[in-house]
Amino acid sequence: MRLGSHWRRRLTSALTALSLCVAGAAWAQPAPATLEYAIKATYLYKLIPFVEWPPSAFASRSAPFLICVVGDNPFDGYLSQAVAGRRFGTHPFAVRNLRTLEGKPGCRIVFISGLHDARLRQALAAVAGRPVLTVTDSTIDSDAPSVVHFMIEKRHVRFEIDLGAAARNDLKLSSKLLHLAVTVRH
Amino acid sequence: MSISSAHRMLAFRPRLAVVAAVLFLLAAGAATAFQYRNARNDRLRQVRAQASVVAASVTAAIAFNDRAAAQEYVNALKLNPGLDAAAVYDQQGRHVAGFHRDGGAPIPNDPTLASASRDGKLLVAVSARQGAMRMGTVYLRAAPIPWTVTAARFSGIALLTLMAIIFLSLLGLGQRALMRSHASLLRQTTELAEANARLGEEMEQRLRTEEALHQSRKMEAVGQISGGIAHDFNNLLMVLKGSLALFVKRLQQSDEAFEQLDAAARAQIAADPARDMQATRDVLDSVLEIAEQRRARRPQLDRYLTAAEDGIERAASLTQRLLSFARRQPLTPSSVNLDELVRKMQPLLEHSLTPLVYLRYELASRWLVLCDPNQMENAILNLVINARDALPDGGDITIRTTDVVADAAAESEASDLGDHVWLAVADTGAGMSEEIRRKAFEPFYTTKPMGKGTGLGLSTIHGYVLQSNGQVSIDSEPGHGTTIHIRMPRTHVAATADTETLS
Repeated sequence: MRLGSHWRRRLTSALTALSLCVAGAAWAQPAPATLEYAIKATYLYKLIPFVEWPPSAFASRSAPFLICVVGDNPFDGYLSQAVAGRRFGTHPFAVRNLRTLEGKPGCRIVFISGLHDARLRQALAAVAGRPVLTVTDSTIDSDAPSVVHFMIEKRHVRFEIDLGAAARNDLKLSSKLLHLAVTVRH
Repeated sequence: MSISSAHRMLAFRPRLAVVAAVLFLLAAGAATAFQYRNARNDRLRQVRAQASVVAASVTAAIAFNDRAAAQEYVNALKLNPGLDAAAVYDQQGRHVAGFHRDGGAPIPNDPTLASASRDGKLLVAVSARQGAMRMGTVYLRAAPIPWTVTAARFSGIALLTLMAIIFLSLLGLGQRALMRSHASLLRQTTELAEANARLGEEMEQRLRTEEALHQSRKMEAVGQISGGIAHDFNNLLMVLKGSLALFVKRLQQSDEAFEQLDAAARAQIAADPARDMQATRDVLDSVLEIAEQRRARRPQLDRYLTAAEDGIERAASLTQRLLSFARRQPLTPSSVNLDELVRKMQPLLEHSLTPLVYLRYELASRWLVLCDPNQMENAILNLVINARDALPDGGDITIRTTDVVADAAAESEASDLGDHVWLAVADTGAGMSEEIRRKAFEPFYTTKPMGKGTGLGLSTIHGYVLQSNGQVSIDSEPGHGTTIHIRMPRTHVAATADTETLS
C-alpha cells in the first residue's frame, strides 16, 4: 500500500513537473537545458529554509550569505535573479562564481557543476568539515558525496540527500526535505 | 402582627416571578449567543490549526513542486468530515494540491484572504512558510455544522432554561397555594378566635343573667316570706292595738264607777247624818282609799300604755315597709309627671341635705308615668338621703330625668319597657363594691352604722318600683360614685286612677 502510493505519487509528481516545465517555458528561456537550470536555481534557493547552519557559520550579523558556484556557471543569471534583494535573516544573499574553493572564501552553499572525479573530489574536500551545504548535479561519488545531489528523474528535477555528508559539515536537514528526496543515504 | 408581616413577606408576587423568568430568558439568550460565538471561534481555531499543521508539513512539497507529496498531506484532511474542501497554492498562485467534496466548488486562490464565512461555510487561509520564506498558501473550507449538532449543543441550555422556568412556575404556584392555605388558616383562626370571644361573652352574659335570676328569686323568696310574716304580724298588731284601746277604755270606766259609787254613798250620809253609819263610812273610806291609790297609779299606767302604743306603732311601720318590699302594700297610682313631682319636693329635698352637699337637677321628662306619687316621693327622698349619707365630706347629687323612646330602649338593658321615663339619682361618693351592689336591694342589708339605717330603704324602693311595673338598678363602682336608675313605663292615661290595692 505504502509502496503503491509511493509509485503513484512519483508518477503524479512527474506529470505535474512536466506541466510546470511547460508553463515555466513561457517566462524562461526556450532551451530545455536553460529551463532545467532555472528550476535548479530556484531549488537551490528554496533549499535554504530546510537547512540549519550552525551559528558559527557566520562571521557577523551582517555577513553575506554566500552562494558559490564552482566550475562552469550554468545558471546564466537565474540564480542571481532568484536571490536578488533577499536575505537569510540578517544576512543578504550573494552569488559568487569561483574557479576553485581554495582559500576559504566563506561559502554557505557550494554548487558544483560540470566537475568530475578528481576535481569534484578536490572541491568537496576543500569544504569538508565546514558548515557548507554542498550541492552537485553532474555525478555523485559514493566515497565523497555531496549533501544534495540534483538529478533528472522522468524529466523532472529531483534530488538525493547524503546525511553523512551533512553531518560532517555540521548541517541539519529538515525531515520534510528528506521526505521529498529520491534517496536518502546515511 | 408578626403573622401578617410574615404573610406579606412571603406573599406571592406574579410580577416578580415574570421579571425573574424574563431575566432568566435573557441570561439564557446571552449564554446561547456567547456559546454560539465561542463555538464559532473554536471551530475557526480548529480549522486554522489544521490548516497550520498542513501548511507546516507541505512547505517542502510546495517548494520542490512535489504535488504527490502535497496531495498526500491534503488527503489526510479528507478523514475529517467537518472539512468541505482544501487547496494548496504556491507563491506563483499555481494549484499544487487540494480536494473538494461532492457538491462543493474548488477553492480559488485569494492571497489577501485570512478567514471568511461564505454560505455558512468557514474558509481559512494559512500561508505555508519554511523559516522566513513563504512557499505558498493552504486553504481549508469547513462544512457547515449540521443543524442536529447545533441543536444538540444548544439543547443543554434550552433544557436548563425550560427546567428553570418550570421550576420557577412550580415554585410560584406552590407559593401561591401555600399562601392561599395560609390565608384560609388565618381566616379560620380569626373566626375561631371571634367565636371563642362570642362564646366567652355569651357565657358571661349567661352568668350575669343567672346571677340576676338568682338574685331576683332570692328577692322574691325573701319578699314572700317577709310579706307573709309582715301581713300576719300586722294583723296581730292590729289585735294588740285594739285590745290595748279597749283595755284603756275599761280602765277609765272602772275609775268612774268607783267615783260615782263614792259620791252616791257620800250623798246618803249627808242626807241622814244622824244615822250611825260609822261602819259604812269606814268601808267607804277604804274603797275611796283604794280608788285613790288607783288614781295615784294612773300616770304610771299611762306611761306603760304609751310605750306599748309606740311599740305597736313602730312595729306597724316596719311591717308596712316589709309589705312595701314584698309588693303587697296598698298603692294609689295616678298619672304623674316626674319632673313636676321632683320640683314639688325641692324644698323638702334641700332641707334634708348637709352643708357641703349640692343637689343638681337635670329634668327633661315630659311624659307621664303611672305610680303612687306619695310612694314615689318617699323613694326619691330616700335615695337623696342615701346619696347624702354617701357624701360625708361633701359632693354632688344629681337628679336626672329623661324620656327614652322604645328604639333607644331596645339597645339598653330596659329593652322590654318600650317608651319609658328614666330617673336617676347619682352621687359622687365612694361607690359600692360588687358585693355590696348585689346585696343592696335585700331587706335588712345596710352598710350604715348600727341604729342609723333600717336596711329597708332600697328594698322598699325596689318593691315599690317593681309593683308599679317599673325597673330599678344600681350602677356603681368603688371610687366612681353610685347611680340608682328607676325606669317607669310611659302612660298615656292622664286621669287619676282610683285606689288600687295590690297584694
